[in-house]
Amino acid sequence: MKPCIIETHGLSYSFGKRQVLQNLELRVPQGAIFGFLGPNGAGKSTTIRILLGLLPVPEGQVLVHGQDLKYNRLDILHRTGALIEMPSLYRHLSGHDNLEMHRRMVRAPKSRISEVLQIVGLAADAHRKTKEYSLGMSQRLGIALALLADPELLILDEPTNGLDPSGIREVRELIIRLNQAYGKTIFLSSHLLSEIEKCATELAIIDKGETLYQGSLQQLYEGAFQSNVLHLETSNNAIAHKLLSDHQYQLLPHSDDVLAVQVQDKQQVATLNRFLVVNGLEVYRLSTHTQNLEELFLNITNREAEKHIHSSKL
Amino acid sequence: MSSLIYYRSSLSAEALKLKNTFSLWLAILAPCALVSMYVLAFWSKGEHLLREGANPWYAFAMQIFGIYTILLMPIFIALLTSLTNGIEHKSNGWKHLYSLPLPKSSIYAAKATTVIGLVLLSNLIFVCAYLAGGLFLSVVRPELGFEQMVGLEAVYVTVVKMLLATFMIIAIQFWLSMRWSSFALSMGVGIVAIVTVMVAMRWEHIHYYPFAYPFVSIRQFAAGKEVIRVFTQEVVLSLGGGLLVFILGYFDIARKRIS
Repeated sequence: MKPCIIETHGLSYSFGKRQVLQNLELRVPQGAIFGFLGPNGAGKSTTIRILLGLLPVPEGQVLVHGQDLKYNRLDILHRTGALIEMPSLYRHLSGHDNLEMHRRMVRAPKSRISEVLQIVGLAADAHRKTKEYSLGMSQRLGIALALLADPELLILDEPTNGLDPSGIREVRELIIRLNQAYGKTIFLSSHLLSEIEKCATELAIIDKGETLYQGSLQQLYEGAFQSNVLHLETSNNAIAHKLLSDHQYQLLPHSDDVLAVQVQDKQQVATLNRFLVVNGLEVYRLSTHTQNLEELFLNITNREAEKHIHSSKL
Repeated sequence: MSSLIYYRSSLSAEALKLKNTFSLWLAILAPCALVSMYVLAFWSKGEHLLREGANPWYAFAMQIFGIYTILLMPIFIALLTSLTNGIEHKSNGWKHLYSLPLPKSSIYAAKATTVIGLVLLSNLIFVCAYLAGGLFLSVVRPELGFEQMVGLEAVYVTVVKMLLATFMIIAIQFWLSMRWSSFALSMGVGIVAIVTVMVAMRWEHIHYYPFAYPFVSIRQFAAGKEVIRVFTQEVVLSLGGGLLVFILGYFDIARKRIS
């Protein structure tokens, strides 16, 4: 088990009487792209504000880089870069000046400015005023700001919010590159499931301040859910059922005239089809049904599948 | 020691932030505009503005001081503080600043220093503009008697007093503009200050009213008395009160949740 860069123990938070977080247990392993997923109002932003020391930790414990946030706020922030929603750019200054100002505050070496500009691909636009920047460029400059102090951990709150598809892609590719080429651990919050699905290695799903799922993306697909289900109609379903279950296929409960089989990939569908045909059955219909993260997510947050996850996790 | 490093890095960042901003230009242009208006007035109607035998430099200073302390100063400070802190309100900057590895106190102190520095800068420019204006008048209107530069110490001391007397106003406006993003609030308070000082100018307890400190601080000069002492009552009150407001302001800001 890799060491955790962020650990929360029984983190609870309330604004007045409204409970925002309940017993949140997060484990962000080092080197991961950790997707922090939840619908709007689930408590994502509150969690991030707590992680950055903007809100006090009233109950529970928060460890970042193995240090207690309550007592080592500055040390932790030294090793953490953050982009909260929209980057806070000073619009009257150029991209370079924004970085220089930030550099003075985090006391990074001067050479670091051109390095981060290179990383986010803004070297050519460094001397333009940031009010002329597109949203995607602003967002990348925001990430450059977060990178200045060369932190091990990047906390990005909805970094693709409001971007057009190409902007989203630029930012996503940047995030993946930062993780793979520069070894940064990235804590990525989003309500865009497709985003998390495309780059996260680990994820947590929260709703109403509670963790609903936490683990790797792989596990989420494999363990808890029917990710790829093949629906079959044959000339004799009873025989098909027997044949398939004898050959270690995983059959799922379904209605009488349709069989549902769990498959891993396309290849397996072809193999299965051939197998049935060779055994003298006629196949009338083969259709795959993929449940993507979007559906999983809605299921989870709608609490329909909640019991299912809990039981399968145990 | 380390807090000094933090403070210095915050301050140098704040200084860079002023680049191309209106507040920097305001600090430079406001005193110049004021002085040049009076230069024009003396140029065209100087003979009506001077009494026979009086020091023209004093008369020139007095005219400017009057408007400066009562009208310009409250608005000017309100503008400066709300512009300086407005940069952060506008660009979602507080969240960002407080998530940097800097103690809140150094961020606060650096901001406060910036605002005070701007007021100081504009007072320096004010003195320069005043001297330049007077010398210009000595060339274009030699009969007004501006070539004899005597007794200017009294003017310098009064400017220092005036500057120190604005300390409490700066502190109050600084807190208001940091706490609330509304530009109208700062300006409203500034305008209320002007009106109340104008109305209550002759009230016997006016020297306890913070917004009247700058005005009270030039009274001695206006009355033609000798001005040597810097730390008169209103100056001490302004410094003490201002410091208190700055400190209380800090505790209020530090305790505020950032959302």
